[in-house]
Amino acid sequence: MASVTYDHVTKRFGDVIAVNDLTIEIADKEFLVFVGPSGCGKTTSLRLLAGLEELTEGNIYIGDRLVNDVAPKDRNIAMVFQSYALYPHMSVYDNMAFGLKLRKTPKAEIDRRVKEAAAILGIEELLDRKPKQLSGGQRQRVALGRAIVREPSVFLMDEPLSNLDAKLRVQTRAELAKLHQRLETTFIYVTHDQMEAMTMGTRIAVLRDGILQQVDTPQALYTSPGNIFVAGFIGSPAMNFFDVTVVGTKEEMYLDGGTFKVQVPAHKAPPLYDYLGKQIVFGIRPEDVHDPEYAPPGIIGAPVKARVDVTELMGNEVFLYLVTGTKTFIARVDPRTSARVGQDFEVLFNMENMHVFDRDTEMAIR
Amino acid sequence: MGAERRRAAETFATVFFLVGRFFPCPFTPLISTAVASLGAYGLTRLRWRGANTFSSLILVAYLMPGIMMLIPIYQVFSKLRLTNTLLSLIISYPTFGLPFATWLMMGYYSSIPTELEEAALIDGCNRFQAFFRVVLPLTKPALLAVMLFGVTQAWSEFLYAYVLIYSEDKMTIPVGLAQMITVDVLPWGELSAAAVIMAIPVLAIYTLGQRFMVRGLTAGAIKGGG
Repeated sequence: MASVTYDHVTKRFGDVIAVNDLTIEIADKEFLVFVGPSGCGKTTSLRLLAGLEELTEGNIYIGDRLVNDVAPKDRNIAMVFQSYALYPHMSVYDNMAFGLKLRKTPKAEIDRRVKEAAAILGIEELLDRKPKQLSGGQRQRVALGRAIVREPSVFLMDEPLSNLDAKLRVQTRAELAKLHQRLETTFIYVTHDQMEAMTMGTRIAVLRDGILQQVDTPQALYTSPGNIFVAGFIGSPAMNFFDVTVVGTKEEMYLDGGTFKVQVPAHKAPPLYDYLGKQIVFGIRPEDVHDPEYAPPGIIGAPVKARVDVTELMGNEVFLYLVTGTKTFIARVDPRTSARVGQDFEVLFNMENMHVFDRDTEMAIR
Repeated sequence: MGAERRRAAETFATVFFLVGRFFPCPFTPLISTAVASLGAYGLTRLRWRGANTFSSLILVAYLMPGIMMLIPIYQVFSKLRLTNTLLSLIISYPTFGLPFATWLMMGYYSSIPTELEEAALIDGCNRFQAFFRVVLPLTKPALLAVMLFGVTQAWSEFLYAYVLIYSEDKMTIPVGLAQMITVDVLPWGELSAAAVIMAIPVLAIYTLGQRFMVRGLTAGAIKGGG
């Protein structure tokens, strides 16, 4: 168990900056998720912590110990790789025991720990098999088991679920979260899947082009994204964005999108005073676009007319792809909606949950 | 009939006597395999300036005909007083066997995921332990292929053995075979018998090892291959 600190960490590969001045403190026993699109530097950040890449600048601490020049084997970490990286020539038991044997742990202790980890993961009957005789899900468990037996102070996981089918991924996601609670150890997890990040992380660090965009709890990231990138990346379907002009007065302020004009609630207006007459980016999540007939009571709804382009029935809800002017946006509405393809339809924007961003800096206006 | 039998027996005795001179055979592949496995690992896995250039140079050396190196090698060996010794063959054979072995091993290493070594490094290995305990056991087919090539090459090599060795008691089988021809007299019976006997070990080795040979040669050709 240990905290982890990235202190102004930079990693360059030639002219490419993979990680750019990353500073983040990860508390002991925290489950931190690095999330971002491919090439954003999340895996490199993890590999820097593992000691598999050398830092260009900055410092990394595990607990109070500076580990910049410490070999991976001496960092007291364990890592689960995307490809699982099980040793093909060893049995499951030997795969799990390998790290302990290298550390000259007594045989009885190795046996106890391997069997205990196997029991936790439900792979006791697989201990004599070779990795090639296992299914994807079983391999993934063995990789986890290999990490668990080491009893490391930090667990590193590099997209460990991406090779599993959708159903198994959801199941394993929950099991990993449970494992974190059980082991009470620091977990650092890398994924490109925002859903995984939202469901597992106690905090999420969103990266883009090697730069940390925002670190916060899943809820805070969702409700108060710091910039357009985070707002668009977190949440599925993604947030709708419109280029609008702030018009009206301080008392009665509107966002004019050309084909629609919505009123800003009075308590949301003050941060926009300086933007009167200027263009900003207005964001609204699909679930905040309602079919008026089934809109929850008491919302501050602003009507917007649009044409229904596509409807997607998801079972418990319907995604409406709507067009206003040349702009397409998505609404996530009640499945009983009367909206049909090709029809003009009026939806309500729940302005209580509106998001506004500076057009130039792309930062949230607060 | 009796005379023919005696002659046949003498021929076999001569050939078996020559078989005893396969001295360079086990040594050259051992040297080639040891050096190639370590060298190829350094070239494919360790990041150092000039690794790519060096790899290309190895390919150039591999493409160079062995005969081109014969004269310089002869000159060097005669200065070192190594000519007419079996040691000269043991040293010279890897010079043209090694580039091929290194190239083959490089291809094989490229097919082994780097994550395996990284997992070993995190598990508690240093570089050498990761190489010997995780990577090397996975390269068995390639190692065997390299060994088999080395053995067959050393077994059948003629030119170097012909030039570097000139006393009869040190001649290798291919040279010994050639010595059976005197001017324009070709003892077909003895030559054929000797050729058959000479082919037996190679045939046996290939029959036993062909599975590994094919696997070694096609290593890295397809994803997940090898």
